[in-house]
Amino acid sequence: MIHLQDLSRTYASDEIETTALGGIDLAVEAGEFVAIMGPSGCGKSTLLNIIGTIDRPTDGRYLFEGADIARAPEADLAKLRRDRLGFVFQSFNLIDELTIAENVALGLAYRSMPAREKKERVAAAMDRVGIAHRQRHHPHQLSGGQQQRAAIARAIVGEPRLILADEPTGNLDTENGAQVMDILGQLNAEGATIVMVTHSPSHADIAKRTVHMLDGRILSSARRVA
Amino acid sequence: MHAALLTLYRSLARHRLYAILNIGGLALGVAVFLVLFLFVRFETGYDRVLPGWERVWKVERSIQFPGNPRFQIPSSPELLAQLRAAFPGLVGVRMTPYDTATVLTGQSSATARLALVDPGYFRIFPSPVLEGDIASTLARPDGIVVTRMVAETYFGRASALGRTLTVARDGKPAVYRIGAVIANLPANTTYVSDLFAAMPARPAADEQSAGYGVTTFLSLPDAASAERIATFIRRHPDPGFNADSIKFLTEDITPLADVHLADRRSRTVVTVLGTVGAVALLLAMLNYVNLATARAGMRAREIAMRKVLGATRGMLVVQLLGEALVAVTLSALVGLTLAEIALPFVNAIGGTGLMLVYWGARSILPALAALVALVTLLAGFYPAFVISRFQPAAVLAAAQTPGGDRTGARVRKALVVLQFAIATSLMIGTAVLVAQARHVQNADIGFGRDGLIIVNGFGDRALDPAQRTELATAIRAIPGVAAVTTSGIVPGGGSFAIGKMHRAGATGDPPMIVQGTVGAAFFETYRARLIAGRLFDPARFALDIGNGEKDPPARLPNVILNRTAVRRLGFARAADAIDQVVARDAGAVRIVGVVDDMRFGTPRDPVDALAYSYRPDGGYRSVQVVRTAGDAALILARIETLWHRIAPAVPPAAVTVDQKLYESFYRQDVQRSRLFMIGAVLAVAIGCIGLYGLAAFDTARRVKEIGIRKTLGASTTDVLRLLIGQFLKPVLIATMIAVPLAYYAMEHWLAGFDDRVALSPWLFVGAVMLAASIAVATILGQTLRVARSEPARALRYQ
Ligand SMILES: Nc1ncnc2c1ncn2[C@@H]1O[C@H](COP(=O)(O)OP(=O)(O)OP(=O)(O)O)[C@@H](O)[C@H]1O
Ligand SMILES: [Mg+2]
Repeated sequence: MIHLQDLSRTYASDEIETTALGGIDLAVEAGEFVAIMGPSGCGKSTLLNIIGTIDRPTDGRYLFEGADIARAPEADLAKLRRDRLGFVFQSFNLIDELTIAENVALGLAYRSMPAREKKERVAAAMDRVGIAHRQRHHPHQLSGGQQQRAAIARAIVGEPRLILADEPTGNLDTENGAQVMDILGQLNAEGATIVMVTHSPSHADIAKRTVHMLDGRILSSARRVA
Repeated sequence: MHAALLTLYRSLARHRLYAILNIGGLALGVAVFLVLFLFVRFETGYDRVLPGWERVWKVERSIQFPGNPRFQIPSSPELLAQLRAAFPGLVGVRMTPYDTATVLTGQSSATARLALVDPGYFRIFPSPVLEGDIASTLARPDGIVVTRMVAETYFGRASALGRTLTVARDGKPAVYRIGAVIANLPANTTYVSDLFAAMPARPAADEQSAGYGVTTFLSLPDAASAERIATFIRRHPDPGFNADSIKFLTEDITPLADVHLADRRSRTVVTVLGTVGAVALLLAMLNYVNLATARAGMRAREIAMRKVLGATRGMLVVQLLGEALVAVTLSALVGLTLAEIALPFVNAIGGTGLMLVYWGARSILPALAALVALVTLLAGFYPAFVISRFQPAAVLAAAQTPGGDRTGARVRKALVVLQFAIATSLMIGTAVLVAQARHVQNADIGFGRDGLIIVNGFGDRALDPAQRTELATAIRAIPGVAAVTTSGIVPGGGSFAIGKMHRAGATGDPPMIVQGTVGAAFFETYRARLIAGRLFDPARFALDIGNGEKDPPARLPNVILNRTAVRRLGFARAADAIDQVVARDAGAVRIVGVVDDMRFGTPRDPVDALAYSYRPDGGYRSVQVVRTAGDAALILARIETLWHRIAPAVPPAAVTVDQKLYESFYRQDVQRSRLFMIGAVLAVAIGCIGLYGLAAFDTARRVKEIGIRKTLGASTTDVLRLLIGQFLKPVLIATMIAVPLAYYAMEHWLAGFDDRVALSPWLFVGAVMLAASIAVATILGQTLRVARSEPARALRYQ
């Protein structure tokens, strides 16, 4: 599904140039559940963002289902994100001014489908993560775990083929973290490809493959033998 | 306090954009307000600079014939004596409404305003005497009081006292000896003059016949005596009027201070400009409120920490109001500077003489201090109230800075709507003013106004017949002069009579019709449009003059009517009037032609009903009107050169008709419109500053949200549509408020014009589109930047 070839990303600020990623080669097949691990600042988020097309590589090739999209026009990328990708962030990134239901509906806001279908899908997604009863609340009225589940609902409401999760359990306690991992596991079992950044070895264990990074490079990629 | 100021300074320095928008916008508002405030104070302060103005009353006399506008007419020279007989001890003075006189020096002549006044004039209108003595000067028939400006013009720095001036009034030169020099009169004085001489006890015989009149002023101690005098005047109308006209005569007294703005339309102008000033300031205050509350979120942490450290809400409100006071004071100072810089420009294009006075009785400083206090309270209170309400726990616990609560957002949106409604209304108003100003200067007014020159010097009685003939011949010979005519009635005034005309068999009051005299080729020179019958005809001039009904066989004089006169006389069609005989007090006349209305007067009033009679010399005090084929300015200059050679003692007083109409009727409207326009444009700019600031804060606050939306697949276009749409909604609501408001206001204003533009919907569409485009342009830059940014970067944004 995804092929990254000699991919790099540097950030140029006024004085210094930071190499966040340098020469990444990575392939993710459809249906995989990949965990990315590594010390803080090693480029995990950068890599995930590039996979999610919300950041662009400085160099190298990014093939998504065979098409090189490293330099694709912005509009095409927006379309790709809209139709194929789902995001979950460590800091939830819910919009405070909108209710939970409205936040979840945002996952479909840029697709054209009958309003009724949208409503049904939103309800189903909220049900699935168990926050339907809080749908009229605003994000700041919910606990962290509930907020993250709402964020997951928003990510999956569009039924994406690829879900990208950046430390989805980073701000959660053990119990809430376990719940979130359960949901991700189920989604993978249902066929979604998942790439997840995590600092927790036990959560990484749930994934089928773990990629270790250090200083913008991939150290190893180990497939879990079940 | 010191620490608080330091915090304020740091916060302003850190949020530089905020500081510039906030203080700059408010300063602009203060500047517009100050300038227009000065204008209003200038206009409403007319004659109030005069010591004792409260006691001065003016005798008003006006006449209004049915269907005609009201004419102000001077009062009878005998009135004051009659009043004194009835009210012994009454203090009053008379002056001739100033007359153009000619000051003759060896080689050249210049016009000056000459007032003939009673000896006590300067006791009611005191003026600082720079040198000499007024009483002894006005006691002599050859004494003259001059203003400082006149003294400096003719005698430079040297003392003018005892020097002589040769002044020709109505062509009769007389030598006057300067006995006193007074200070120049303040600009907002109604009764001004350059020269003051004693009024002769009896007017010369020819002046009496010409309707010699004076303006009479009374100094009355209280309202009760004013009422007594007014009653007396109303009960004793001037016996000099015949029984027919006396019905239409109004005599009364009015306070001097009310004279300048007696016309409702001038009051409207002052009100409108004052409102524009207040509105500009209001917009700036709304900006302040908007920006301050929008920024509130950014200060939430600071405020929360202060509360944690023990500050009460009251203390915070005081702190925030203090900050507002500093910001407003700063803005007021910048605004004052802006106003000072702008005033010369405003005065030049607005024809005003406004200035900022800092010390003394007319100092602007107390008003400015009051303004600062008021703006601080009005603009500072709501933000202080909102910001000080933050709950510390909620703020400090939140991972993100709060974006302000929902009511805050709603208030901001409502204020934006209000601002935009005002801005759009002003824009529509400006469009209509411009359209109307264009219209009155270019519309078809019934004659070809371009290339016409009026030579008023021909009406001067100083011109002797030989000079007249020589000038007439010489002007006709100037290359480029296409036609020449002579008439008593001309654009912008001239001399004419007004009287009844009745048609046989007509019922009701006979209409009052202006009767003008014209010479040969009048209609041809003006390019008037003949509607029915014929024009005066060189082959039939003897017929056109008539010989009076009494010399048999009676040949009635012929007249040509304008369209309005035909209608007023009750003829259904112009053709019906031809060959009809109508009666006048001065004898019957026969109608031989009808021409289209020619607008010689103001666009504000309807065209007079007019009957033209033929006179070989153009009639009483007739002047020449020249139609030029070439460059009018060049021909004007040649006429003046000729004139100075042939009749050096008489001012030529030649102007183009365009100039004459502009000076008499359009100039004030054009200048006031310009003031309005400046105010309106700046008010819109202030609104835009607010919108820009709000867009800046709003988009900054929404950067993260935009990042999320893009992550979820929104394209740049989607985001742009969202952000701009969100700003256009208030613009749309504002338009719906502004259009009817502006329509109503401008209809009201245009109702003051007889010759007016139609309120085309395009004016509205254009103005609204312009307002909307300005709004979009204002927010587009920031919106684009945010919409284009990489989502990953946006998500990092805090
Ligand atoms: N916009 C940016 N400008 C400059 N440098 C950046 C930017 N974004 C990331 N970096 C740098 O790139 C490197 C990788 O950052 P990244 O956020 O990918 O790390 P990470 O592995 O996700 O760390 P963590 O586990 O703490 O989230 C870091 O050194 C970071 O400072
Ligand atoms: Mg990270």
